[in-house]
Amino acid sequence: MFNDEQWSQLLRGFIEEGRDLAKQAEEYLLVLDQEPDDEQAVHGLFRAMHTLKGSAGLFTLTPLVNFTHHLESLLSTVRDGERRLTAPLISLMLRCLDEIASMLDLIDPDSGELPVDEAHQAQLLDALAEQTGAPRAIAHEADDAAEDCARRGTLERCVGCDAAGAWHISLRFHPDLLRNGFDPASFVRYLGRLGEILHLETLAEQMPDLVEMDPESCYLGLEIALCSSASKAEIEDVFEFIRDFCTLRILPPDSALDDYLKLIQDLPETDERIGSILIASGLLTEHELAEGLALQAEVGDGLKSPLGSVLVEAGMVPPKAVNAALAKQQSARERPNRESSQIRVAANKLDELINLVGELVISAAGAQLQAQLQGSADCIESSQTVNQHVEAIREAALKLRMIEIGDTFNRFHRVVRDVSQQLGKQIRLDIQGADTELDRSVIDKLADPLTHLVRNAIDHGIESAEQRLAAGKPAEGRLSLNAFHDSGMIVIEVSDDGRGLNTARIREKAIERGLIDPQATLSEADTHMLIFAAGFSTADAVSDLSGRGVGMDVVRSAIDALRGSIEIESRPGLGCTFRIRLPLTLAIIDGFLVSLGDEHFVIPLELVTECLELDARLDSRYGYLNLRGKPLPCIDLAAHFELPSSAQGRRNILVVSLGRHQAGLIVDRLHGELQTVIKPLGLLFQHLQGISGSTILGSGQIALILDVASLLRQLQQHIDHEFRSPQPRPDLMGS
Amino acid sequence: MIEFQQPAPLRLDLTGSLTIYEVAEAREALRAAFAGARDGDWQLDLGAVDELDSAGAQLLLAAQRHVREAGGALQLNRAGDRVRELLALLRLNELLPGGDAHVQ
Repeated sequence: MFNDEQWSQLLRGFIEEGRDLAKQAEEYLLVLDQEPDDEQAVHGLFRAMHTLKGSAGLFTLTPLVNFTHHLESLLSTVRDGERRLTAPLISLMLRCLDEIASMLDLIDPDSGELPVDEAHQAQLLDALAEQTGAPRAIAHEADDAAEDCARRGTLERCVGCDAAGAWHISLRFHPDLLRNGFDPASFVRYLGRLGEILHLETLAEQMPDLVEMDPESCYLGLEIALCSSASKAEIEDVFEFIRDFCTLRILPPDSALDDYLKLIQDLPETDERIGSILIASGLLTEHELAEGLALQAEVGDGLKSPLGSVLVEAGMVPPKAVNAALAKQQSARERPNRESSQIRVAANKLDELINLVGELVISAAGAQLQAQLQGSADCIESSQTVNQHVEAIREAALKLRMIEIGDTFNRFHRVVRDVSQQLGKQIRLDIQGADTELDRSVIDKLADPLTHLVRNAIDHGIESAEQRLAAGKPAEGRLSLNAFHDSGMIVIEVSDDGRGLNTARIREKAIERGLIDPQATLSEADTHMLIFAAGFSTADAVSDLSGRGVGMDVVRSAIDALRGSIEIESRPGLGCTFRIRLPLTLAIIDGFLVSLGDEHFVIPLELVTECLELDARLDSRYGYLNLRGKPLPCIDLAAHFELPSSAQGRRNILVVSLGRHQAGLIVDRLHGELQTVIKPLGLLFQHLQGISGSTILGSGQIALILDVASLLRQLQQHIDHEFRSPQPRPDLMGS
Repeated sequence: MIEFQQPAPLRLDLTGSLTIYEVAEAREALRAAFAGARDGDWQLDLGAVDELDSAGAQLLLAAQRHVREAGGALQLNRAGDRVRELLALLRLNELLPGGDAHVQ
């Protein structure tokens, strides 16, 4: 039905879907942790497991089907009100979800294989069985699957034994069978010697009424699911004697979906009847059947739509001919799908699009420049229109990559829960600004540093309940994650209401580790930043979570790599806030073009607060100028980069602000706004200070993009150096 | 050999075996019994049935369907081990009281 490539593409789709489902399930579990009676969450949780199991069955991922089956059956008892989810049970289920997530990671999309750590799974299932107070039933199933497949007859497939799955045998008997002295029952008995009969159904649909029937004629049919390592020939041999008196169809284990569908259609009974038998015997999932029937209906209509896409939109296709119960379950499953009517697109396709849009921006700028050089008014006008559209496309394209940060934030419910339990602390997580949008690639790279910060806050920041009560604070600690937009940047805050950073202790430790000179005078903020130095850790006891001195420097380098900055705001005894500032996107920015002599530079526009004409003189490369009565630290860029500055013409100051830091950049000429497609610097230039990338101008010239954060750091260092006491040290902190 | 007794209007007691050799005779007896009584819930006592085969099971199935279509129910009582074994093998336990099609 599918070629390998289509299949592995579908499988990739499933893996994505599976991850989403596992994540959903986790969210529901965490809700239930707080509100054990939230019915909607229970249903959602069950549905997630049910769908996961169903879809996994479609791809013959038997270990996953088997594992989720246990969770699903447990949840069905919860849903039916027979059991409540206790805290230990939730913890256990969270671990099971972890196992599911790692199974999903282990699926090889090319071969469709799924290697599993059976011992670990058995352990989890045993623990689950113990919690649910049904040790024998479930544990037995997990352990003795190989000996006793029949017990697992209600499972999706027979797994755990040597055979890869169940055979399906369809028998329709000739009316003369009984009259010739054959008894179907004896063949069934004999078949039982080849393996375990997982499922059997006697069909008597063709039988006339008692009054009309010939009781000596056979009207019966059998549908059998057999778990056996026997070959097809061996199974056929069982029916050797009645070959002339029956129609026999044998489908090997794990036959293709369309083989089953063909069987359904070939048999005289209704599609639903046979379909429900196949479902009951675990050879097909409801999902597969519904999908298959819908698929056939569609193909039957002569619509040659790609089969793959039909299956991908699993659940979106209304099943045409399934019974009412099936349809009902189906619609329950469809709902979440419809709510989020989204299209999955491979990330690299989006990257390609954005890359092309970037090139388009450059060439449109080139066209406009040419038009201006030609001086033709029509030409200029049309190139301006083109430019407007290009700009609109650019924005739309960038929006495609924007996703809400909420998903990333929500995963911290789990981290906070686990870590605080481990440490015996009570901590509540507050999330604000979950709908703040951020470039997908930024969010992906942000997860690790945020995790470090959150763990750090729980481990070091928030005190134990006793300490908190002694300090007059509520026993329950608070950790909040907050995101918001601020002047073209996104700001993410991780704050706690713990003890705050211990400046003296950090200083002591830094001296001990040789990170700073014992004589050095550092501001409080600078001292705090020392915790981002490699190999720095102040925890007295190395705990499981943090305290090994890895982490905070990783946070710093991850944020740097995102062209972001981080600052710490700590109030002793009251708490600590880590504030991360990040650019909204990594690919294209609105820039401000300036030049130094003949060289062009771009400064991210959102950082520019104003432009001024330079009327004073700066004595050296770095210094202060008076900006409306306040000292403004300034950097002479031409001198800083050792470029010849143009002798004639006035010079300008560009006032930039980054967070609360403000500084003036002295340049020769201002050219104005420019959409800037960021091209990364080559390997050779990656370590250049003060430059974060390059771009190509419409004229074909190269302009370098200034890394304002690093420029400000250098400026600060020089100013510190030159203006070292006696007089009070001026600070870059603006108003 | 099979014998039918009708100790009550809606009750039949079967004695002997119900196999391909007896089904023709048994069908006549059932048809006569069902035709002669008003519709209702029938009890079939199998306590004295010592053998059942697929043909017999098929007949029981037909009888049940016949009664059901007339709006009644057919219950098989006191089925012995051999009868149960065959019904279980063909997953026809639903014919038995409290039977479940999937009980082994």
